[in-house]
Amino acid sequence: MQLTITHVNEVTVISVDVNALDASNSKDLKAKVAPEIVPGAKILLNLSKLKFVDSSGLGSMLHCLRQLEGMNGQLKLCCMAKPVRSIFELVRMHKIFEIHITEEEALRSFEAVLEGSK
Amino acid sequence: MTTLLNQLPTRSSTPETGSATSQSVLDEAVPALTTLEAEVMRGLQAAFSAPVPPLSGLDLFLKSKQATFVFIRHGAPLTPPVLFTEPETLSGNQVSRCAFVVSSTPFEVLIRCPNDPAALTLAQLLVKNAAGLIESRKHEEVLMEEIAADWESLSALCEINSEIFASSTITDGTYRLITRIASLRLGFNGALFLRRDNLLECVVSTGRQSPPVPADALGLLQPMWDQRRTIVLNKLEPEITDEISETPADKLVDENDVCWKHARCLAAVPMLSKESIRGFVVVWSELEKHSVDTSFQHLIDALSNRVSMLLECDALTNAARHTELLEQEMQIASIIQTTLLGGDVPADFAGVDFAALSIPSRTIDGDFYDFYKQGDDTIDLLIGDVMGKGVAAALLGTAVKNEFTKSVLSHAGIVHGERTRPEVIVQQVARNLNVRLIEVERFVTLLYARLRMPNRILEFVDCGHTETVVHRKKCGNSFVLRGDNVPMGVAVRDIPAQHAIEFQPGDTILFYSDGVTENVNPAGELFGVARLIECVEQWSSCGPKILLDQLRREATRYCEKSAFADDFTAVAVRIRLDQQSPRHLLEAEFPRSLESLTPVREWLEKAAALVGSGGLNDEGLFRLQIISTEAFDNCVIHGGVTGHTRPVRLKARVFDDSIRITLEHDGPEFDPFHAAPPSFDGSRDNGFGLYIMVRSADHFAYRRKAAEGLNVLTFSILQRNEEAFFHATNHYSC
Repeated sequence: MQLTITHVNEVTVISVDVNALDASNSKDLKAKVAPEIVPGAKILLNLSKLKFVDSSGLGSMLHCLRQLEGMNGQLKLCCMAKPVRSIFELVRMHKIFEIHITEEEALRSFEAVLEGSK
Repeated sequence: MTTLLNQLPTRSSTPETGSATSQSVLDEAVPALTTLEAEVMRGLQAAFSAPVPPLSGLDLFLKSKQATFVFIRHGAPLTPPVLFTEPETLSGNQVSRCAFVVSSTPFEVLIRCPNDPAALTLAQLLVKNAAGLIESRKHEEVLMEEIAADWESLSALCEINSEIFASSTITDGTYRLITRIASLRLGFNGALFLRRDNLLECVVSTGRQSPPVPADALGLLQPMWDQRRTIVLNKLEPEITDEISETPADKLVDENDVCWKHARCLAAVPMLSKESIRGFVVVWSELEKHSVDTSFQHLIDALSNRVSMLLECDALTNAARHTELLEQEMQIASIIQTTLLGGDVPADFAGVDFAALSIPSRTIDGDFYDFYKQGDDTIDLLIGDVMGKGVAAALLGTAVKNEFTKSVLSHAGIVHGERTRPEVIVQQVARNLNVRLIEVERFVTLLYARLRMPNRILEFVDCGHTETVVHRKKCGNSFVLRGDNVPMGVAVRDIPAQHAIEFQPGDTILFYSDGVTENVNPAGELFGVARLIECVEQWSSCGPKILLDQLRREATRYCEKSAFADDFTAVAVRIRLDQQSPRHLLEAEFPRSLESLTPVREWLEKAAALVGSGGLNDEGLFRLQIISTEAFDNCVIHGGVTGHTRPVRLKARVFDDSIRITLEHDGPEFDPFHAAPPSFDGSRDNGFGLYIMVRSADHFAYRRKAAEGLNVLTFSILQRNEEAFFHATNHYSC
């Protein structure tokens, strides 16, 4: 699994550079993101390359979210393709995750301390 | 039963003229005796809705009078005479007879009673009464069968029920009985005293009214009370003075004004119930020439026993009113619900699958539904809900249903190439029912719908019923149908009118009663239409039966009870996808490994491109891929656990506007429809697979090929409009 990790101010931006996130690589995602999950971490998953996510892919992202929230950190998502967005909506995860349309918008939301997370 | 008792048999003493029954016939008849006796007892029990003491009056007479009772049933086949006591040659003028009819079968009772003509009166009374009770029971059974037949039966049944159960008839009943006792001998009077605390109150008297008498101040009647036995006093001297004499009638009690104060003879019978003494019956005559002889005493005993039973029955009924009666009513209601209110779900209607679910609540409220097939390509459907509770509502439901059956039948057939419009059928019912419903202050919400297959039109007449939910796979959205007529029984002038929509293959139409949406959770929140729609969207791909099963599960889970507060009735209709002949058929096998996921999706993409009109669009392809991926995930996971490693076989059938995939793999049987629902609060990161599959598919089925140990999943994707991208409606989300 190819991930590109960059740091913009305090935010760790992780680009998920795969077409599909399914049972074959979702564990890999969890493993690769794990080192970034530290207390107070602010992580943005950029999903722009992703065209396909199945339930195990969703599950791995949920796993990261819960871990971070347990450490007073944040996980946000951005740049979702239509089908990916639709699967989030289908299982109502769009209400659980904070999802932004662009990376810039997402980064701004981390800066605005009092705004953002629903 | 009071009305039956009222039919005092005519006293007759016709000499026996027919040939005496042969001994052999009598021998045959003896076993039948038990049957008749049982029948008589059953009749009594049915009427009293409580255990009944043996026919003591009859027994008494058989013993004391050596009376011979012969019942002869006429008609074909002629049953042998039934002997009540020892076979005995019937002869000459000692035999009295009376004839009566039970359930259209004429009966004749011949009574040989050498000593006392009063025996005939009593025997006739008892027998006819018992027979009458049987008749009443049979009548009630017939009524139950005919309930749907006409409105009048409905009220008749209500009358019988209220006559048996209503406490208001106890006074009437006891009055009739006491009058009956008194009239057995000319010049006699009768009275019934009932205990209230320590006072005995005169509730019925054919003579003068009595003041209440203390139970410990009954004078010479005291032994009757204390020892709980019948006493008979004869040759009483009317005493004019206040002086104490041997047996002055007016000194029997402390009060001077009891009704029997001038009696020259009397009999008093205590009314015994299981543990206590309720009161007594007193019969007296003020004429010097009269006396109470043994025979008369037996009569009084027997009939007093009847009063006792009546009182007992009344007490039981009162006690049962809130418990047993309710149960009984529930049973009746439940029978009505399952046999009369529901309809036969059509199993062979081309292109459509139907299912119905009906769960009566404890307070049954008369939901009903039915189907009326109008030829091969048109079918009508009725669903309704009677406002109000109980048997009456249930019966009303059957009455309404019956009106529809009549209306549908009277409009059967095609005139000038057209069937009678649904609104005309409903209008006829409205004309017949509105006024009557208004009279009884009830109303009925209902919906009458027609599916016309050739042109895919759904016509419906909605009379104030719950909104109909339509989930359209072709667009991936849902909407509700609502008419603008008021319920029947609200306004005479409202003329039901129909509406029509087009339907499409893959549509699911759900008709339901408000018991479904008004189901309440422990927090008092309604289940609501939104949850209902959610449920339809989730499960409609699996067909109407599974949809309704899941709806029931969902609703039960929601209200956290197994019993619903209201009747829960739903009828689901699913228009099958048009998948007659595939344009292409593709097959492939993939190793059972997660590495296959990408190749599987690529294979599916190729297959999807073959769908008519330029291939399946992105939205459809995505759904196809996610279902397949989830299904494949599952079998790899299960394969890993159980060691099944045979390749997974995929078949694709490609149609003009849809694609059907069959995924076959070996492994243990699983039940995809009883998995726990996923949690949408982010607390669990698994459990979404099945939800996503079923929800995303436009048709989804699981079956087990037991012989080969194979699990077979079949699912279809329908080409949707591009703008309806994937997700189902959110305008109803909670």
